[in-house]
Amino acid sequence: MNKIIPAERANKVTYAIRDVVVEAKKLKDKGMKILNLNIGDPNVYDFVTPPHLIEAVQKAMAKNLNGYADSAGIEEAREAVAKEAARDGIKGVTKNDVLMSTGVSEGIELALNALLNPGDNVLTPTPGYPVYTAVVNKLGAVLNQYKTDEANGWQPDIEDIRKKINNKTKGIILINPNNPTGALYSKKTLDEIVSLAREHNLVIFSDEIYNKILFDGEKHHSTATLADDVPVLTFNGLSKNYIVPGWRVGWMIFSGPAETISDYKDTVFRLARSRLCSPGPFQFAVKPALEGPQHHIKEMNDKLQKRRDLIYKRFNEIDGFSCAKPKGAFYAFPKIEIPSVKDDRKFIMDILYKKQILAVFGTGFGYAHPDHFRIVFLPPMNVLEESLNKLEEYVKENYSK
Amino acid sequence: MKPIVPAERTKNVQYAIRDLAVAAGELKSQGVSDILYLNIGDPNVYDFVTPAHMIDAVDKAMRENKNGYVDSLGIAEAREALEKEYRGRGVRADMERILVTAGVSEGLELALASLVNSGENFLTPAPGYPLYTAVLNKLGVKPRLYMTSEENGWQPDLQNIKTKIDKNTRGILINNPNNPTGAVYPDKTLLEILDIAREKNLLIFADEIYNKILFNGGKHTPIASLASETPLLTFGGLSKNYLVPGWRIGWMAFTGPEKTIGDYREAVYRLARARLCAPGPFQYAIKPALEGPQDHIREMNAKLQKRSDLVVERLNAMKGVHVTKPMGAFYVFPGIDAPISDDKGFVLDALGKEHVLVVHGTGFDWPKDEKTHIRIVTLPKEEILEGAMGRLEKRMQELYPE
Repeated sequence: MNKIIPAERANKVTYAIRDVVVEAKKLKDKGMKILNLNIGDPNVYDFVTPPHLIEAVQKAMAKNLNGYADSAGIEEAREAVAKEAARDGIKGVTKNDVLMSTGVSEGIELALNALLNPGDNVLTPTPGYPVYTAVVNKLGAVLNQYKTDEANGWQPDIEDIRKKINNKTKGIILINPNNPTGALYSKKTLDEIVSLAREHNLVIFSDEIYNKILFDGEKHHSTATLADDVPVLTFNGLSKNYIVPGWRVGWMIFSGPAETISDYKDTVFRLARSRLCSPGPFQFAVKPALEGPQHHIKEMNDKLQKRRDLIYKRFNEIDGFSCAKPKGAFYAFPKIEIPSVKDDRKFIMDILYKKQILAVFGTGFGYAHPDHFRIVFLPPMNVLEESLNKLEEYVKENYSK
Repeated sequence: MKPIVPAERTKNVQYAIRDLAVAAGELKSQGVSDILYLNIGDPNVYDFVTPAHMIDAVDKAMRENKNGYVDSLGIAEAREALEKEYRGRGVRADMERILVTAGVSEGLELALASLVNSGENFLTPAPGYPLYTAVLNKLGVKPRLYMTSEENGWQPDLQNIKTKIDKNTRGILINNPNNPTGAVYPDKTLLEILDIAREKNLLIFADEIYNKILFNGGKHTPIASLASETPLLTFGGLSKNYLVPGWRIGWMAFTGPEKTIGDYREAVYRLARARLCAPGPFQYAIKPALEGPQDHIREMNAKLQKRSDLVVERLNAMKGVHVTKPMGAFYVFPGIDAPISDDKGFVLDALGKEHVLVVHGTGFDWPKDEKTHIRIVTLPKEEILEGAMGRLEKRMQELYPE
């Protein structure tokens, strides 16, 4: 039989974060110890899932709640999300405006699948979380990437966005707090984006998965709170704030005028019915998570702020790097200031092979220039110190003047 | 602002089974409390209980803080257990050729998205589980149905299949044991499908999610055990055999020569990496499920034998109704001789007047111009089935008043 040829859309799908893992595995298999600064998974480090979430799931399974759930998600979870939305200042949200999904990854796919025809585009940030470009490619839609400005704390470049909107642009994606840069978007930035959306009939997709992971007493602004006349889909989930990325519990909240969003919302819910439902038992952890004890969040943020302070200081001290200050999430996006390094992918492979440090190359996040990389500052201080020392060694050993 | 217009491709995405649940929900909210539900293939809604040792395995994983992302292909111990299970059934798929997914629903979506370009086609059965055509529509690919033949025990109609194949046909899906008919395919049928696939360069997808739910002498052969040189995807999962449909744990095994299937499999894996992973903790239940006590399956099949016997007898006794005896899964697909032009209307009528909920045949891609069929789930206890049969009898008496 002839070789089976994959579909066109599959050829364009890449996911840098997991693709570098394949390389690192080869070294691990040889017995080498790798310093993992690549995956944004708190459970890999010294962060523990709050026990009351685990108890809620155990209870559900023991009560035989192991059958299919409602396609939109179990009622108590959707109610809890709606209540949280109200607490955050998003007006008019009821449980009927909430859809539970298998992680935000699935939610984004449902939302974009329901909106984009082939040839349409949606504005995605660069650098940005690669799932968005993977989904756009999978749907046969067109990539339309907007810049974020390193000199301005990686805020979206409003002028660039304005230039890039065309008559096939259906929406704009925001990631706030941001992966990979750690930026927290100012109210001013968000207001300007809302204006553009209003002017050009765009849906705003606001990915707020890291919204409780904040430093320096800064406040997070949920995009949907800034305007109730603009359609906004607010994405969030348990993964990062509640330390359960492997559970794949996410949700989306629809807000905006009913006559603007109702057909679209109905379509997303209908697409959701055709994949049956999101895992049931884990949804019973949503209400306890959002309404129960929150002290683990303060503990997590205190730890992370110290780690953020360390890497921010060191990256700006080490000759060969510079770095903007992350204000939320657990990532930093340092710049490689070594003139002879012209390829971020090669740089990442080099530090992996020479110093056993695993990070992710910046172009893997859609960044236009091959001179940045992403690290996570989830690991404990001693691991971060060791990694930073090794990076300093690496620069001295390979690029001393 | 102008109303947001949904994408074109979504117009054809339907999922009848769940869409009817919306109508039942409205009735319930009006105070109706005696609806008999024979619509959803979910054993947990009835008197079937998830095996405790599987729940224990998930509890243990969560308490050991295994709550982070896992390998995109699925955790190693699960894939090892699946490799063993398949080997025991004559299918050679090593663990690197096995992918764990969020239900077979996700698996099919990954597999089809990686295979079919728009303008190409992929054959799915009529009647058949509606998710297949829903996913194809979601991908912007026009579904193409092949008939299965009631006169021949709902086996795939091989002549019909041959007429549906053209140069753009990429593959064919068989669902065995079958939803909605309960048919189990003999080796002869499977071998003939393999022949057609080889001749026409088709990739076979075998949805075998119900493969341990067998009675009335039904015996299941995994199609991949009949041909190691023909490229094949075999889908399975915990949902039905192991009573956890809400956990969303499925898998697919790639078999066939590496040079034929390798690139395609890598494409599927790329898409799998981009969605990160299937839910982690539940994957720790796969090994205990496959290797632990299997008593619940015997018990389930004994119950289903009795219940399907009851339903088959009562249906065949109704005027104008006839049904094939199922040998697997938990469904029957009776035909109704009366001229019903709108089978969905018939079902909504039965819901509204008799408070019994089944699913219309056209909701399973059964062609409109064929004789009306409905799908009935045989999971409920005998008392509920007796009650439901009585209510359906009343509906049939209205169709054939004497």
